[in-house]
Amino acid sequence: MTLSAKRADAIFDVINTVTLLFVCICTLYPFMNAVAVSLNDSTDSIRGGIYLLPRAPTIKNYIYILRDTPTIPHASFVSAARALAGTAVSVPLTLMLAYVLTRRDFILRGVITKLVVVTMYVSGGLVPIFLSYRILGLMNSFWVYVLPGAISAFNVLVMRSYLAGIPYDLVESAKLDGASEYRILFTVMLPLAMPVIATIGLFVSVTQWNQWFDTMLYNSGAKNLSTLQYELKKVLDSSQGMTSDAIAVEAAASTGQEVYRVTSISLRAAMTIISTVPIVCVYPFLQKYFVKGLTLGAVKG
Amino acid sequence: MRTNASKWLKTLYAQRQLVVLSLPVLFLLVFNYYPLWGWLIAFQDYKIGKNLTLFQQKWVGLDNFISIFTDSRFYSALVNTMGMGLLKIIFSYLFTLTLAVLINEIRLLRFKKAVQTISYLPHFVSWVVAANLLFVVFSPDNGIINLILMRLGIIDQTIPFMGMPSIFWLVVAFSEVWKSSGYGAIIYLSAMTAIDPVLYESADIDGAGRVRKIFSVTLPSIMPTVKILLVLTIGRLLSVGFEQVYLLRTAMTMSTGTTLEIYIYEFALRYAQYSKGAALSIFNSAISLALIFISHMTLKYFDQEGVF
Amino acid sequence: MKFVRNSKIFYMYCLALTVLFLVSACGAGANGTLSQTAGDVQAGSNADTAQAGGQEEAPASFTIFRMESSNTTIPPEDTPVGKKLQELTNVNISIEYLVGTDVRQKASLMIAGGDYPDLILPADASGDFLAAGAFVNLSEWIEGSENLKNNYTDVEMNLMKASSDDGGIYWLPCGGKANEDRLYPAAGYYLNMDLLKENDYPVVTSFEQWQDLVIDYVKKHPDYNGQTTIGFTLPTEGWRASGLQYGGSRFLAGYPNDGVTVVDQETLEMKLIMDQDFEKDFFRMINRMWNEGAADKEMFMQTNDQYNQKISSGRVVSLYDQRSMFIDALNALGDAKLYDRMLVAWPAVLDGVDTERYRGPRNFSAGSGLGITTSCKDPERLFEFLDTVASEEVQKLLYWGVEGEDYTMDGGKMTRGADQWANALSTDYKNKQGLEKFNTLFWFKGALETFSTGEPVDPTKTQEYADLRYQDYEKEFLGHYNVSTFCDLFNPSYDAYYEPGWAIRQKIPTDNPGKVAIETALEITREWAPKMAQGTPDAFDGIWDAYVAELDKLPLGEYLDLANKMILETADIYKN
Repeated sequence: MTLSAKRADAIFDVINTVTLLFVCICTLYPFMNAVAVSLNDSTDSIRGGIYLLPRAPTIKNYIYILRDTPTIPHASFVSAARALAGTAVSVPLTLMLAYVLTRRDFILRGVITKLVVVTMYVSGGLVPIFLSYRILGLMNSFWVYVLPGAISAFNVLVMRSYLAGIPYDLVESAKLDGASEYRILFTVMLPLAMPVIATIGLFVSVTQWNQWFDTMLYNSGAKNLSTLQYELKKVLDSSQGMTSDAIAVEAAASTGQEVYRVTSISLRAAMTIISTVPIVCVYPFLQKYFVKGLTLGAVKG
Repeated sequence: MRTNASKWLKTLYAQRQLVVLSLPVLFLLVFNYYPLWGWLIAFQDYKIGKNLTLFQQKWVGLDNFISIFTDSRFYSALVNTMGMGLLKIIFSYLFTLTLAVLINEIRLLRFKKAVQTISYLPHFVSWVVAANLLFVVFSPDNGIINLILMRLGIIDQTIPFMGMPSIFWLVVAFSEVWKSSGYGAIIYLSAMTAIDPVLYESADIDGAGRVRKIFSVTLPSIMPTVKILLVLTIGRLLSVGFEQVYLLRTAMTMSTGTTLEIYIYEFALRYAQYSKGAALSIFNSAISLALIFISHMTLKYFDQEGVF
Repeated sequence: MKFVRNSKIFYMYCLALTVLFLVSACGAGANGTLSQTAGDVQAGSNADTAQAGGQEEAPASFTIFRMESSNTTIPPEDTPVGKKLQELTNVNISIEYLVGTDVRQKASLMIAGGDYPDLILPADASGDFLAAGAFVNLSEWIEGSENLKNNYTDVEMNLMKASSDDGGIYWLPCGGKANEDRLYPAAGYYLNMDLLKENDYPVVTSFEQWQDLVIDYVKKHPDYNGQTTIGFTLPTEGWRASGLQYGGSRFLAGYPNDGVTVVDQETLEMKLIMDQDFEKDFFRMINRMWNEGAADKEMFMQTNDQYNQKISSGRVVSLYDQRSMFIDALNALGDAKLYDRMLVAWPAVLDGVDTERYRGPRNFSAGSGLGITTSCKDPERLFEFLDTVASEEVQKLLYWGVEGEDYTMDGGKMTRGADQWANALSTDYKNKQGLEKFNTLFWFKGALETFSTGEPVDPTKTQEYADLRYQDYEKEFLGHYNVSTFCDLFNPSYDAYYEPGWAIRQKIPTDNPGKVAIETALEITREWAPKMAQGTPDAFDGIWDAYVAELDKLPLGEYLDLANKMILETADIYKN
């Protein structure tokens, strides 16, 4: 490599590092700010002007959420369980479907591909879906968290695209050895697909972890199936004190009721932190697999 | 004809193991296709909770579609949706791809990990929180951006970024970039891990610098991922994200901030006009399918190889 | 190497599956308890018939849904007051709240699904549930009841009957009884105390005067604490924009709160606010403030948090809003001891308007209330429970708390000591004790009434409470005006003679085309408000005309005709 090329590389490194540092600051600041606000006295926070350090430090907001909300521990367990279960069900099914879609000789490939892709763009709408799931007996059950979202067209396509990059020779030679399709998928493809499996696994578990809408729709009657995000949503609602409707406010005003609200700014901040921390803890663990993907690539070559 | 069919069945039998492996498609049939009966209500004057079965409701033919297509608010919502959708696709593509490449180029492993971990963080906050942060940052009244611009002498009067109808689409596009570039980059980074190191080695031998390698090895190698994502996203042009736009919209930006989804919500769902809602979702699906068909065909034309 | 990693993944996968099955077992447990609860109810009713001899009944269980968000994270049924309630009634209740969505969406899903909880407090969706046939007719049971029958006056009973087409009573209005604000008026045109002090404590009654005071003050004090002074602001985020859309202007013309409409106090003719002349005057005020540099530049694009932050920084000189919407900010001002920045409400009216009706009538609203659903397995038992709740003994518990803890009996009367008052003012204590957690749900007695033993039903209507509530600076301020409460600056409340317009709006089902047109009109007002505010004073009339032309395109008459008819019906009930 020439000297000028080396210099160009060095300049590139510098620019790259500076750019990424800037990106990091932009993305991190709101979180530092949220940490500061969540650790600040809630009435004081209304005055604004809190940046990186709390002005009136307190852990009251966390106490309000974690100690004075008796439902949180169980709900966290359900959330963790649905993230695990959802991933455990979704990833193998996605892998199976993605694999058959890479097999150009498969006779149903075209039909299935279309069936998968179309689901990304059409939907029956909120009420019909609700009624359908009710007919399917998914109300007040843990399965409504796991089953309906098990196959996401996007994830199938992403995985298929990765599997397609694995040399077909491997499948061919395994076939010559007399391996069944199952064997090919689980002993030949699976180990090579680890990076994409980690990625999809992360996608699925994060989506599962952040869901609250399905709890509201299908499981609001079953208190022991409540999820963390749903309980946090309740905390937030309780801090806003009433329904989000102008008529309700008018009714309250004309009957002279006083509505006291715990300040929502700091609670919201504390909630952001509480629900983000577990994901931040899981992520580096999966990140390892992205890095390993490189060595796998080397073996393959 | 008959031989064809029997040949087909024969092949199917021979591939029975693959058929078993494709059974997960049943999930889609049950959870995604079965609820599509709901589209029928687009042709009815659907009343909820009257103990009427679907077929006892009043059929009104295309009335719902006609009343939508003669509403001027529908057209302005359509234009807004397309404008926002296009800007969002363009900007998030550029930024996500750039970010992925830059992260991939970091040599210090620890820094790489740190940047990756930090950049995906905004994905995990809800739009409620994110929108609030944006309002604070862009505020003409002590907002940090205006403060910096004033100090630098670039502007002499504060700019109400969140209150300008003319730039609202850009605000939506950039907020999307901020929130999801890091997370979106994961998929490219994952694809980059699969690039054969031999390619880089041979580029080294050719004397290629870092930047050269990005353009001649990294980007071409992840092209399949880029293309598939592009085709898929174009199909979602009309789904610009309800929560995001709804929260970023203010009384000032209603003219350019009302999207189709907001239009459906405000005028159909909240006021129990389910039939109109269904008609709109049929319209949406039809346009999306047409868009993805066109983009897929275009790709196939140039590339020989399609996404599907 | 490869093998090791794969087996690790395999173990992780097994672990995940194990958890999955554990949890689904736990989910089955949930179903188990649910069906068991249902079993309990039936067992309860069986026991009812079997042990007619009047022996101890098995406790029944009922589920309740409140169409509003909870204001506590502790389930009220688990608090001391809640436990005592279950003890007194021999019924276990489980309350669910609306979470993170709007009333309409939740209501339509419930109605679409068709399986309801036993009891629903439907808020604004009462009309929808009734139209869907979700509620049981309670008329006969009320006739034969012990307490509920006597709980309502004839007028109230007739208003309740008028809420349905067939004259049946489908819900019990709770917390819908006449009430009034005693210490702080619910809404008004606010001015800060510093401005009032500087102007030697004027009595502000004219809208013109109110505007002049603000504009003068802002000119004199362009800055406060190093930040620009904000002369006038308003909440505009989402549904909070109602003050801007219609809430602020109606009072200017001397009308009381009738929702999106105003009702002529003589003829009872109903009109939509959004295209009236007084609405024009309201927007002209904002336009004037804007052009004089007194208005908040960010007014039309601020979030609710930003709005509260501005007020609590002390920069805001004036605003129009309902007090409960910015009570947080006022508390923050108090904590920071910025007493001179506290905001005081004034009943400003336009020239030529004789009477202001800010505090409005003490009205009874039958627009919404507790309805027993068709899904309830034992509606009679549930009604019996509600009847017991309406008894004085239970009402005392719900309003005053647990005897010996929240109040003491002194010479046969309920009284509160200093400690008990301190508790009653603490949100934390109220959440844990269950005080004020059953309001609007089970508060059958009106807050303005008295118990047969002589105490007021609502402890916050006592002089003791007022003395505790007002701080020294507030008492001093009121001294300048020779009044004892902030409400005394306003005309007093009066007896209602028709049902308020907002209650009428609750009763009309959401898919009524007229109601949809009203919502569209509100959106149009929100869209045009900034244009009207920010134009030059010369251009204002033109912009207003263009705006009214937009409204004229809507079929608004349908709603007005229907609602007006309903109001006249209720007025007839009051007359007879």
